[in-house]
Amino acid sequence: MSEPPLPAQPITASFRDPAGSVFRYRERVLRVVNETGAADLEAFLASQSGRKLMASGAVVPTRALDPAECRELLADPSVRELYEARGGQTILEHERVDFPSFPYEWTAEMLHAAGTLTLDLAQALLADGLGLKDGTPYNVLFRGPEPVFIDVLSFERRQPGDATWLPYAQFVRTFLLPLLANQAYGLGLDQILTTRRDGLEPEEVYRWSKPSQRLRPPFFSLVSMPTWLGAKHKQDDTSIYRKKLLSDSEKARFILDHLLDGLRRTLHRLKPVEGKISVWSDYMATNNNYTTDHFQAKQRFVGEALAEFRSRSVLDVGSNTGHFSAIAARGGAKVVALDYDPVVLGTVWRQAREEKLEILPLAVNLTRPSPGTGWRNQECASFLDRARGKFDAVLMLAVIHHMLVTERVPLADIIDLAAELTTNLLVIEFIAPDDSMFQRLTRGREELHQDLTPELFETLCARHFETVRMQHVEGTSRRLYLLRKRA
Amino acid sequence: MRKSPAEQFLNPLFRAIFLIALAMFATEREARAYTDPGSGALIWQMAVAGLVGVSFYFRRITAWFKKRKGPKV
Repeated sequence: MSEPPLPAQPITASFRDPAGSVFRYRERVLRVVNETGAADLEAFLASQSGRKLMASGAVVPTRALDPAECRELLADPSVRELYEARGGQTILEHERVDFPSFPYEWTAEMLHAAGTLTLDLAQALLADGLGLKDGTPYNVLFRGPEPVFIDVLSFERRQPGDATWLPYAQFVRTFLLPLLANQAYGLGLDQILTTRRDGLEPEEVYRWSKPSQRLRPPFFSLVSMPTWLGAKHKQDDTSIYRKKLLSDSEKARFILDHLLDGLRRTLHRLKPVEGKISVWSDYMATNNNYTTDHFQAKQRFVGEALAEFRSRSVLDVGSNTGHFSAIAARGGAKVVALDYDPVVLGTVWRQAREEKLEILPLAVNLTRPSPGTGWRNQECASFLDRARGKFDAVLMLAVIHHMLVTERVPLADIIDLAAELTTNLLVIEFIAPDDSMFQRLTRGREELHQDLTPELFETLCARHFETVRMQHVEGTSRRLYLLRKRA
Repeated sequence: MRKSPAEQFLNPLFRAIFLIALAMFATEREARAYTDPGSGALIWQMAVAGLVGVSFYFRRITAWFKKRKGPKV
């Protein structure tokens, strides 16, 4: 008698969309589409605008698997279980985005770019009688600095007489109000979006706003009017949600175009300004301990290390304005640049976009990285779950003193984490307690770090890495290490 | 730049909305019970849509007049 088949390992898949589910399967990104989604999807794939958007890279390249490929996948019980549970009809495969990131890790500039892309799609598709059925930043990921729309089940066929854009309020909550709160109150997107999947309600921002702000644009249309109208609306009256179709489709289209243009104007008004100042925005120009010559030597050290080992994927921890990220990207690597200051990362994003460098800036503090969020902490993986083993080089330049002193993370743990993140290289700068930047952070509590010596640093590194080379930074006690992970 | 007739027509309407808003602002009361989040944004969208709808007809009328005047020029 043959043994019963092993129970299928359940696959974690998206579940909110009634039209299908996306899941990862052996490094592939697949999507089960059911009957609800199939017709809309076909209409999108067959439309001129759809093909154009996919060819331009605005929408993630997607193909429907042929019957033989589907059969092969469905031979795996876990895939079959998911397929059957979701009433699957088709399986799609999406081109993978190297490093998935979420809105609470983006800079305001990136949320703005994702909003622009969303409106671009909503308007481009109108010509083919299609539209977007939701308007949330979770439909967008970033490839380097460029946003790409990933949820192909968001497209739907529109009724010609329909003059309302149902995701209007969602677009306001998840794009416009977070940008407004960022602009008006200096709130970071991590503060707004980590715990709020659906953005900000107008009522919430209304409570924060000053009476003098409430009649001024864009508060008036985004915050005040919706709050006042919502308060006066009888809660049992659901008639407003009933679809109202106009008999004149040309008029409906005219209204819809105006509505989307209005959102675009508001989005433009909320565009983050260039040249904002933060604690760290002038660091490269004023605060560092390097003379021009020594800085050039450091640049050479990093550039040569990455070139010698042909690093293709680099994590730059504490990137500041992205000087070393840019060196890595110009050498052909795909870079994720981390810094907890979203203002300096805004600069990184702009430069990467201008120079077309493959740099993805993320406002993440490595000592308190983004947690797994959503249902069962599984809808959006934690930063570390996405990052472990994904980089063949990790840069930690002028950063360990922040982790040691400000965050009080033990040195051994910092090195352990670096060894988890990189598959090969670690380029790390050792900063001794007598360094002026180090002392500025310790604020008179030097005794906490008196044991920190280059010898201790080397011993701790040697547990995971071998030293390829070390270079003293002349005129300071700093040292640059090129370390290679032991096999 | 000269404003189009549609824009000229819209301005008084926007002014009217602004006055209504002022009135709402003056009679504002704190919502105590559960309010339906999102309803306000939807009603606002519909109000704006109604306004734009009016301007659509106005645009049609001006276009018709322009067309009639056209051949004589």
